[in-house]
Amino acid sequence: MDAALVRQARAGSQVAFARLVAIHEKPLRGFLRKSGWIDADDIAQEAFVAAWSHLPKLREDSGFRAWLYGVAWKKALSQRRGAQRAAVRDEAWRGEQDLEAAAGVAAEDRLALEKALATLPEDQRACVTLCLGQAWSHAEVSDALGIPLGTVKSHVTRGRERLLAVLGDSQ
Amino acid sequence: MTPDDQLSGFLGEQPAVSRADLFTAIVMQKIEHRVFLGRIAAAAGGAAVVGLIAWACAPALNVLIGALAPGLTPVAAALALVAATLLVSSPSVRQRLGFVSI
Repeated sequence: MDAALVRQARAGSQVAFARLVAIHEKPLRGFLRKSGWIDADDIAQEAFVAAWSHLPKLREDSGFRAWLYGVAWKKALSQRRGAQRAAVRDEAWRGEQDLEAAAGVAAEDRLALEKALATLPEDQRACVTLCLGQAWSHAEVSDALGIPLGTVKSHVTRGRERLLAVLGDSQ
Repeated sequence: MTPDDQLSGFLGEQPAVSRADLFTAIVMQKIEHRVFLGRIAAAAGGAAVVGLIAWACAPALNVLIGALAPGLTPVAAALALVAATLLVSSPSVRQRLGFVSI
């Protein structure tokens, strides 16, 4: 489905690109939030705008998702390196950015997982979020984030162990 | 539910409030703005090139215009009259001039 829309967007169709945005915005924002970026929405917006501008550089139409996440990841990293952005958000805005709590995860487990996730290095957090949370393959994550495949595998294994240990402790 | 299921559920959480329409609208607005700026820049570049060519060809163009102008003046005046009539008679212009009630 992405491939057809990407082809149309490449030809200049803003309608097709708007559909791509609608398809990918929620998981992308979820990924960025879980990876610890407070300005997840801003980063996601910038990533989509950059994706539109650089669409001709996309090698395979079917690889849009991984490529988009890679663009967003680079944006997030460059934002952190750059000047401090306005970080003040009012409570209503924060409320809108809250994530939908997964069914079957108790509140105390969720809290423990959030704390543990925040202690993971950002690369590891991103790998764990995409592989375990969004069911991406190791190769896809490696391709999207520009991290070697072996590193992705070890990040996921170690991250999973640390998070499961926390989950076990809280029970 | 196994711990792994719980973990995947937690890591796969997505924004609670769906703001897809608003989010898409903001992104597309930014894209349109960027496209517009690109077009303006291209048009400005084109105009600069045409201006440069006209400036370079000014001696020849002066001679040409000097030769053609006397014969073309009535035609230019007629065209200007037609353009002005069309402009004034267009509904949006008439509306703005107050000739048509809204």
